Amino acid sequence: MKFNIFNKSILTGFVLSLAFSLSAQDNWTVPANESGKVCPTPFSSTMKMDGKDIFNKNCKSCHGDIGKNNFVPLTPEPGDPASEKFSKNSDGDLFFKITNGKGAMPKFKDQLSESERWAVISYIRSFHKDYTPAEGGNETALEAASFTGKDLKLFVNKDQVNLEITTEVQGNVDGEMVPANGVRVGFFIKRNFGLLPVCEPVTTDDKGIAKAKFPNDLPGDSLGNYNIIIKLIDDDMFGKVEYSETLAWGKSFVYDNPLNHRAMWGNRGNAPIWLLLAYFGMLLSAFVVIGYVMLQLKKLKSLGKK
Amino acid sequence: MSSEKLTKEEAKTRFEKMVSDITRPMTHHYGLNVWIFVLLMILSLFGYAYFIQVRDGLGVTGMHDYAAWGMYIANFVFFVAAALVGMLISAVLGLSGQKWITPVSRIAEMIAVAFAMIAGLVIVFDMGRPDRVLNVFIHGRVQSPIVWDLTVVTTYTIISTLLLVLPLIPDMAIIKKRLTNAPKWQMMIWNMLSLGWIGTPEQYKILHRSIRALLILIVPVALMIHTVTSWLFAMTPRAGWNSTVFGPYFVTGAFVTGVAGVIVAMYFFRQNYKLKDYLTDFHFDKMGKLFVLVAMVYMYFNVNEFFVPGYKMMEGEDHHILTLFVGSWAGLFWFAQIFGNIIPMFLPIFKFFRKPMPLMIISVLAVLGAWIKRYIIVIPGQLHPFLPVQNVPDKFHFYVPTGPEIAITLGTIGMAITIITILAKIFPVIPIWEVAEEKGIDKETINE
Ligand code: HEC
Repeated sequence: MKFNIFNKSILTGFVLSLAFSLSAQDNWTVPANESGKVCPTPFSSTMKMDGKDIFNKNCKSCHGDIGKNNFVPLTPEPGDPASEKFSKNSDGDLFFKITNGKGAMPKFKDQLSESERWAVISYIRSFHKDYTPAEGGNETALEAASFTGKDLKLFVNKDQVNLEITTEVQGNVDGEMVPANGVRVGFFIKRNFGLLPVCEPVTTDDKGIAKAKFPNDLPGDSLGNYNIIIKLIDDDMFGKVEYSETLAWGKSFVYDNPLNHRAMWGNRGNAPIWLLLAYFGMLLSAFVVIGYVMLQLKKLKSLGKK
Repeated sequence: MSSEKLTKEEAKTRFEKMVSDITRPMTHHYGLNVWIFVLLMILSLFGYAYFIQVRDGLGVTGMHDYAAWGMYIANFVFFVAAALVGMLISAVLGLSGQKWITPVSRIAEMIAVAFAMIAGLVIVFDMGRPDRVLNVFIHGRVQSPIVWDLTVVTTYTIISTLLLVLPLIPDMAIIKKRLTNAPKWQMMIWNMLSLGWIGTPEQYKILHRSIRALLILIVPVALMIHTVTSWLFAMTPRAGWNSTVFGPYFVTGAFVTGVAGVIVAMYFFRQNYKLKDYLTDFHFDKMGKLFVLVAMVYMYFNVNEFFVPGYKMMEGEDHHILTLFVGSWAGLFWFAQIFGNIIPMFLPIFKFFRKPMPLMIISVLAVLGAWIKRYIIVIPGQLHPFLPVQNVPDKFHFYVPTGPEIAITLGTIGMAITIITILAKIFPVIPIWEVAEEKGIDKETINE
């Protein structure tokens, strides 16, 4: 048995290393027709931002933070998407590689839709300085880069009647506060285990305004209060900019914990009444009889003394 | 049985002979030293094993993540089953007016008390450290069958003890007047338990009334003790336990175990205590017939327990049934079924097998079968998890009791037998006054 396992593991190890060395030697060639592929729509800033989310969820675990060269040390190495290893690829090359994967690089054909794959590419491209959109006109993602000011601030206006919040975002450009255009603002409600997005992130218009309407049927606490959080989504660019406030815009909700009811599964204080009656009833009847017998015995004894 | 009129003189000589017959073993201890030595050996082995278990924890047993209940719980179920016989003999047969059970009833009660007492202890051993028992009181929920079980085992033990003690009262008075050479402590016990019995009609009335009340009370309590024990299992949706007939299945199984146990004890006392005139062939014959009856009822529940799920072969159940009938548990299973049920159901139908010796042999095997049967009920079902699980250590699919576990289990059996031995040494194993009354001896002579 032991010998067998030992044998097997050697064999498996051998086969695996063979497979790896084979695939490592094998260059990642992309068929010519795939290589020339371009995104059917121009790269837009929204696309780039979607791409960022997708990257963080699906790729970051191996490729690390873009530009920081902190990818996971695998062989062959995943590489930093900001590096030349990536940038020298054509859009079609990237698309093909992400779609089909190779070795430790998973294939995303089934995980990500085509537009999602393009979105990731548009995001990766925003780190490539010399990238020029392919013939046929991808707008460069870099150009769509959002507001470049610093020290962004949120100014929040509430419409208590329509449950609408208007947020104005301003940032410091050359010492002057100006409306921040193209910044993504997220509207959330704080829940027990995280933030509930009220809507998709809203990108500010040229006046720096992002609006969101809150539904009127969201559960709050027993008084209908909940905590709203408004924040900039791209906190890695702008730092943490957040606004929070407790509003009575929700519906009153009283959580009814089933453990607080009498039930078979309840704690000892919450045993069903019928069960308590049955249990203690039976116990009591048994001990009433036993007590009766004890009294009889006492009487019996006293009779003997006469 | 015979109630022809006796003269005063005849009655007196007959009664005195009876008393000396029945009480002789209480003062003459043939082979007792050897017996006590054997019991002490078992108990010290137990003591050592229990010390190891308390010191090192339950890890010294064979129990593990899957088989979290092992030999201890199987043994517990067996003990409860054996304890049930007190109720069957004294209450069911006694209340229905079966006179022949009179000389057997005290043996049955002694067995009941001894096994009920130790049953509770077995649970304590299964908990590992003894102080864990407190947790049942601190955290126990009325919703839990374990709490019901604890309650009903305790109640049953109390009632059984009373049912042993009450019919002893007149006997105590008889004995304390005659065995005056006995050690002081023994005299004290007899004197105390005789409760000043002088045999007035009023005392008789009170005694009969009290015994009757207890006999009626013990029927539901005994049914409950074993039904609740079965519910420890049946309240779980596990293949092999998830059964609606488990209550009656256990109760009827317990009757078989109990009857077999009483027959073995009867045989032992008849031989060693020289009680051939009191535990006669007639009594064995009756017990043999009772054996057939209870085995038949038990068979009926066995058929229900296996045929119904076996017909449907639902996933999970199918595996369980196959491992029992033809799989790795088949050997033990068929031993239990054949010796614990089929043979007791058929052989004692023939007169020859209702003779003391053959019946005793059948009973010994039936007791063994009954113990194994409990083992088979408790363990196999646990070795297969509810969900498919990966990377489980191989040993989780087996359960093998370890040395300390077996020693502790043997020890509990030793304890029960020790209790019976002690009871049978300081109290008469045959109810003198009741048997005397049946032989037509008048109350006056009895209480003189
Ligand atoms: C399980 C780890 C892992 C994950 C997750 C992962 N990659 Fe990779 N990736 C690799 C490795 C390893 C390589 C190098 C493969 C090789 O060269 O054989 C690689 C290579 C690549 C390449 C090719 C670079 C070149 O050599 O031209 C691209 C493009 C790429 N990954 C994009 C992505 C994207 C986009 C995602 C997320 C959607 C992603 N990867 C997720 C491990 C991963």
